[in-house]
Order: sequence, then structure tokens, then C-alpha cells
Amino acid sequence: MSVDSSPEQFTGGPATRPQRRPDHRWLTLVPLLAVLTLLFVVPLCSLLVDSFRSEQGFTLENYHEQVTSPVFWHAMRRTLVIAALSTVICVALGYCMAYALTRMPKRLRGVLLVVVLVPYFTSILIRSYAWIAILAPNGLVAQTLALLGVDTPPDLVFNQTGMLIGTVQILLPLALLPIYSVMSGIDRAAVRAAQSLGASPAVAHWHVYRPATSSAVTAAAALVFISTLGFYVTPALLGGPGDALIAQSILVRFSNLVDPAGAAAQAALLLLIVLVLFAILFRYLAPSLSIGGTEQAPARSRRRSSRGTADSAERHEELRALRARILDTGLDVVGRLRLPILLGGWILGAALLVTPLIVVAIWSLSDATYLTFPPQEYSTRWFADYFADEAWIGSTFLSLGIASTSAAVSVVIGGFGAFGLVRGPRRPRLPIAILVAMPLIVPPMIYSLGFFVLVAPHGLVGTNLGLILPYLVLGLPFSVSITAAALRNLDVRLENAARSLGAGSLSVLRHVLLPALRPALVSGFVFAFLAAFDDVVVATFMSGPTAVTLPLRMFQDIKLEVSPRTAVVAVVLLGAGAAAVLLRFVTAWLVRAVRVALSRLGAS
Amino acid sequence: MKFSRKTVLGAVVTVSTLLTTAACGSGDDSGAAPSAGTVVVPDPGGDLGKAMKKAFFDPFEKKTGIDVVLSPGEFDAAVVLAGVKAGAPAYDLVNPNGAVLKRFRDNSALEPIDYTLWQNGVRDKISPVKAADDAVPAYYISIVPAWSTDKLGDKALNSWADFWDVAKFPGKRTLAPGSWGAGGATFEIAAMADGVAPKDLYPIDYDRVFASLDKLKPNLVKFWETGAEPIQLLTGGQVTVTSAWNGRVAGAQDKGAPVASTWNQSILQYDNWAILKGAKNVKNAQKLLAFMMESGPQADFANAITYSPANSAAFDLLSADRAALLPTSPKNVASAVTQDYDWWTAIAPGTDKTNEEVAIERWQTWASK
Repeated sequence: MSVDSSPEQFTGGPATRPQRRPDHRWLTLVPLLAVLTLLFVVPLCSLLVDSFRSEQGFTLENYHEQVTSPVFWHAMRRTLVIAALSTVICVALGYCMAYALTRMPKRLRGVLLVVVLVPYFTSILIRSYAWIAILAPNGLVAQTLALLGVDTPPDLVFNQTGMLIGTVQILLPLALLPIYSVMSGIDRAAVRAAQSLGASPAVAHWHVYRPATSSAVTAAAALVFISTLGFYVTPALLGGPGDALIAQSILVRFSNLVDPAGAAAQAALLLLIVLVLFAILFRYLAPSLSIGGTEQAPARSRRRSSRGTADSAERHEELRALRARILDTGLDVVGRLRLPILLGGWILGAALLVTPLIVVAIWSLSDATYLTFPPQEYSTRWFADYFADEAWIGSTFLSLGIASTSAAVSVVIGGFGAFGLVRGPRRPRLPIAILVAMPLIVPPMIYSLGFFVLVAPHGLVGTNLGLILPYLVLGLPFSVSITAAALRNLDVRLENAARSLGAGSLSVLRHVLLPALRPALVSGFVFAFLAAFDDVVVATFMSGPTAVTLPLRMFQDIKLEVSPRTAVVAVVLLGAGAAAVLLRFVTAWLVRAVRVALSRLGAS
Repeated sequence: MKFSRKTVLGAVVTVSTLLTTAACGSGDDSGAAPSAGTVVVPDPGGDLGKAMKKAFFDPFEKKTGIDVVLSPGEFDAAVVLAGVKAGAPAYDLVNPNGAVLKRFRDNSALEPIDYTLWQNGVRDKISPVKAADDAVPAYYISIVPAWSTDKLGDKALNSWADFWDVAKFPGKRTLAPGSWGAGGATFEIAAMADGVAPKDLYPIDYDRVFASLDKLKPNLVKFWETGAEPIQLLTGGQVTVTSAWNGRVAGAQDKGAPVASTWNQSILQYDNWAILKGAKNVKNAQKLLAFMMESGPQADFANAITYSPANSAAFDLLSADRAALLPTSPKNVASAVTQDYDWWTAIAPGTDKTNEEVAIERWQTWASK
């Protein structure tokens, strides 16, 4: 078996068990693949089949119509550009912020992580409205600039800038957390060693620290990029008259033109373009992704250098030296500026994440029926309104229940799947990784439609299960990719050592994998939870009169009557989160106090 | 190996798990009360939803004991049609606009209406648009030019040409997206702004419409996406002038928002009531429909929101002051243009698409330039 032949397999210690046991680690992939096939591939394919069907039988007409339409290509190009830009910004900012986090005292880290996570519990809709209040010509930014003497503020909203700001704010945690969960597991001793050997901090960071984070960076970039492709609400609210992205174009095709086949064709083309893009990028990313195998890259470069003549090798060497020198100078500058960069990153990031929340918090106390900022009068009547409304409270609990159930299941299935993906056979890794990423790329609308059509006759619409199943699928890309990134950084020798010392699979899982992967599993859970908790599209299809999720209720409310009630919901959820954090701190403190007291008792 | 305690993340998990337990406890025991059955209707929410509840649903529940379940699932024609095709319609009774109704008919997604349940003579009073075998006009609404009195003071717009006149009425503009086809009336608005006479509106002259929109584009911040958004943009100060549904403007005025509108060149639209094929509670839906169209509830509805009743007999029960606020009152309708759903749903010459589909596609081409 190919996996067993990897050099990492040798533990060096005396083995107590026969060396060659059949490797069953691929079995952990089974639940993941089963879920994805049944709940994702089947519904999607049934829809795709429709896009090739006409009254006369097989047709390519739907595809022909899209491919020849300039509208489609405009939207596609705009989407790809926005996605690329937000990816670069999110990853750069996320990297700085995550790195700064790891260098902070633990207590401060906790607080700052709250800052990063908290915006996620606020509906995307109300955050987008908050951005309008901040960025509009009469908004906060313009007013601040006017105080500073700038009379003609730049156009920040209802154009691509506004779209980009809104998107970055929503996706920044998605870049930060995977990077952070890997960074927090890196042993800094190697960096210190490099520095003690004379490397400047930035050089040490670049050559020692960065390589260890590259898989997380790639995962973060892929997550952000793919998520942007399906964005609908933010671009619709913050974009200008001509800024429709591909998701909006698909929605118009689906809802306004009532052309599900055409919408499916557009979605299929989007998928195809993304896959081609990833296939091209993959050649460059493969070494750092380690999906394609880490040992392929050196092999390839060795082949290249042996093939080249001595002359070109020399030139190659010179080029490399030059590049290294430029890199070192650059790193030196960055190294000297590292404090301002890290600090600036945090200030910018925190401002992006928190300002809309402040606006939302102020709105929740507004007495007005509309969202005017700043409100003329304040009252708590919208809070009273929310707590008195059984339907709203019911929806809140329903959403919390459904999102945490689907996230929990997705972490378990995704965790095992990630193990099988990273530790299992090498060959199927790429197709499986692509399959896992698919639910993120396919616009939720298309997937929901496929799922809906498939399950509606079986009475699943409007039931809790009918909501949990698609949310499970939407959570899997997060739980798998984040866990897999952490697992790749985890030395396989740890597991082998435990096994060679006689630990069974379960104890390896319990004593080696779970503790080491906990940060990744938790952030996987959080993202899977939020994917479900913030969703409007699936809920549109799968909700029924007795099962209305909170985001759907908020979406309806804000669509029909933009009132401070949605802001109240956001603040209540934030308050609940804050209370929970506080509770956790208090119990931890209590436990410690009791333990100290007990140990003193024992000592005396 | 060293890893930090993720206090925060842990807490999040703890809380959500706790709440799961709570949710599972409270999720299933609703709707256990005995009743004479139910009927599921999409909840339009906002002022319109409140008006329907007050005038139609609450009295109907009281009278018959049948529960009217308001489902806030989004009323999206494509989603509803997918439900009908899958044999599990999400609603029993729906209220599509005049153009969307055609899609339901084309997909044979409607039940015939049982007029034997109706009070005598009510069907004949449904006017100016007549009741059909499978759909009844529900209420009349108007798209009007509206503006912020904070920004414009006493200056009042009088036409869509004024809407385009940025020199006289300075400030940013917003309109409904043309990707809604007939829904937002943006095509009619742009044509009239360019001087097309109401009687010459159809067929829509696309070249003229888009040339007209090109003129407005520098002052157009965005297209509104929901019925509430124009009022939000007006009161938030992001735009000064907008197109909006008259009921939204009236609702905002009732709440003290500094907005005003004019009936001049208002564009009259109507929604329909129709019962979905394969609906679970067809009988109850028929009963509800028969009840809603009676003149009493129709008048109550028009008293609750400034939309016109479909049953003309209801005007006899309305005060003259109230009637003056409605889109179809003689004075208001004199300067109004009635949207021609027949044209919108007709097949465009030389294509296999409806005029609405052609308009949406041309709009997308224009908008993505």
C-alpha cells in the first residue's frame, strides 16, 4: 500500500506489533462521501440533468444562450475580480491579525477572538444596512472627514468599493480563524533558534514560521474566494446600479425569468470556470497544499535541474540569489515595520469588524420606525416588541437548535472525513477535496432548489430534519477544510508512536488527535454553525409555516419594513454570546478556586 | 504539544448546545390546538400584512374557526411553482401580481375558484378588472413618485419628468430594478419621463427607455430590491427622490417620516388571489377567498391600508375622505396610468418569449454596461 511506504511511517522505536497491518484509515471517509453523495451530488445532478433537457430530448440550448450572452460574462468577470480582491485583502489582514494574536497574552487573545467572532452572530442584512449608514455621502465616514476639513468625501458605497468593504467584513473571520488555529499550534522554538543563529526576525519568520502556515493560508484563501462567488445579499445592497454579480444574475434567471434550467446552466458554468481556475492554480499551490503530496515538488525540481545545462543552472542560481537578496531586503524593511504593520492590521480589521456592530447596537435603541442614523430619539420599545413576540422567540430557538445540530453532525462527519483525506490513500485526495469544496461554490439557491425538488414529495419541507440535512452539507466544507489544514500540520509520527506503544484507534483519537485538533474542530463547528445560522436561501425553500428560521424571519422583516427590530435581534444574540463567555470565565475561575482550596486542604 | 485554551470558542459551543436542548423542547409542541382546520397564506408582512390580518384573517378565524397560518416563507414565483410541481405547494392561497399570474396559469398551477361559495352578486361587483375562473383581483396599488420633504422642502414633483429633473429637484434617485419586469414599473416610468404619452406606452420603446435611463444614471445611486427599501433610503438620506408603492409612502407618513408623493402619473397595478393546485387545504382556501371578497372585509381592508378594494361595492362603505386616499378614487385615477398586464404577458413578436422576459433580458444587457 502506497501510504505505508511513506518515510514518516518509521517511528524508529522498537515495534511491539507486526509492521504491516492493512490500513483501514480510508474507512473514515465513508460517512463524508455518503453524505455528500446522497445529500449534495444527487440533488445537484438531478437539476443539472434538467438543464440539458428540452421537449425534444437532449439540448445544449441553455448553455449556448448563457455562453453567448455578454451579460453573463460581464457578471462573471466582475465576480471573479471582486472575489480575488477580497481574498487578497482578507488573507493579508487575517494573517497579520492572526499572527499578532499568537503573540498576545492569553487573556487578551480571548477578548480579541470575541471581537473577531461576534460580528458573525449579526445578520448579514443588518450589517449591510449599517454599512450604508457608515459609508453613504451623509454617513459616519463623510461626517468625520468633514470635521477634518475634507468637503468632497470619496464615493464609498453603492459601487464596487462598498461591495468590497461589505464582503471583506463578512469574510475576514473566515480567513483569520483557520490561520490562527494553525498558528496557535506552531512551536516558536524553531523561530527563536533561527534568530539566535543571526536571522533577523522577519527573515526567521519567512523561512521558518511561514512555511508551517502555508497550508492554512491556502485553505483560508480558497474558503474566502469560493464564498465570495456565491454572495448575493451584500452586493445587492451595497453595489451600484450596474454592479450585478453572478449570483444576482442567476437569481434573476431563476426568480424573475422563472427559468430554473437556465439558472442551473449558469451555475454549472460558474462551477466549471472555478474548477478550471483551481486546476490551473493547483499546479502552483500543490506543494503547499500537500493534497498533491509534499514529496512531488522536490522531485520535480530535481528533475528540472538535472535536465538543464550547467550554464542555465548557473544563471538560475544567480537569479535565485538575486531574488533572495530582494526578499531579504524587503523582509528587513517589513521586519523593522512589523509593529506598525501588526498594529495597523488590527486597527483596520477591528474597525471593519466592529463599526457596523456599533451602528446596529445604537439602532436597537432607536425609537424610530425606520433605521435613521443617528436616531433622533431612543427607547427600548423594540426590545419589548421582540421579547413579547412568541413567533420571534420561537424562531430564535429553532435556528439555534437547527444550526448547532447540523454543525455538530458536520464536525463529526467532517472530522473523520478530514482524517481520511489527509492520512488516507493519496490518489483520491484531489477529487475528494474538490467534492468537499463544491457546496461552497454552487450557489446555495441552485443547491436548495435541487434538494427541495428531491425531498418535497416526501414531506420533509417545513420540518426540522428538512432544514438540518442541507445545513449539514453546507457546513462540511468548513469543518473538513479547517480540520484537514490542522491535521496536515500535525506530525503523523505522534499517532504512529502512540500506536506502536499499543494504543488502539480509539485511544489515539482520544489522547492524540482530539486534543491536538481541538482548536480546529471548534472553529470548524463555529463556521458550520454560522453557515446554517446566517442562511436565508435554504430556509426560503425548506421553511414551512411552523418552522421559520430566524434569518428568514429577519429577511422578511427587513424586506417588508426596515425597522430596528432586526437590530434588536442582533443585539440580543450578541448579549447571549457575551453572557456565555462571561459564564465560562466565571466557572473557570470558580473551578480553579475550588481546586486550589482543595489542594491546600490536602496539603495541610 | 502546546495549544491554547479557546475559551471563547468553547463557550460558544457550550451555549449553542444548551440552546439546542431548549429548542428541541420548544420546537415540536406548537400547533396542537384543535381547530376546524387551517389555510396557509404567504405573509406579506409590514403594513400590508397588518391590514390583511385585521380586515380578513382575524375576522375569518373568528367566524369559521379555521386557522389562517401566515407563512413568512418568501413569496417567490419560481419557488412556489417548484413546490406545486413537486406536489407540495407551500401555500394554499397566493397573491401574485398581474404579470406573475400568467406564469402560474402557463404552468397550470391554479385551482378553479368555487363561486358557489360566494355571496350573491359579489362576483359582479369585482371591477374594473373582472374576476376570472382561476383568479380574482385582490387589491389595487400604485407606484408613485415620492420624495423627502426634509431635502426638498415645499417643492413638489408633479410628473416622472420632474423625477428626471435634477436641476429643479436636486438630489440622488433610486428606482425599482427593471429585472422585475412589470413589477417595479420602471420601464413605464422611464418612457413617461422622456415624454411618451400614457396612451402610447405600449408596446414599450426599449431604445427610448434606455436612452432615458442613461440620462438619469449619473444621479441614480442604486436600484431598490424590496418594497421597504425606497422608504429606508429616503428616510436614511441616501436618496432624495424615489419611486415607491403608495401604501408604503402613506405608512411612512403615518409614522411621522418626512416623505411626500403625488398621484400624478401614478402607475396602477393590482395583485390577484389564486388557489394553488394540489394545495392541502383547498376547501378552506375557497371559504377564505369568498369571505375576503365580501364588501365588508374589503372596506375594512381599505380603511387599514391605502390600497383600493377589488370589490367596488366596498366604496359605498368608505368615507369620502378615506376614498380620496385610494389609488382608484376618481380624482387619483384620472391622472394614473393602468399597467397593461396583457401586453407584458403577451409573446413578443418574432420570439418565443413574453414581452416581460425580453424586457428583463434587455435590462440586464443595459445594466451590466
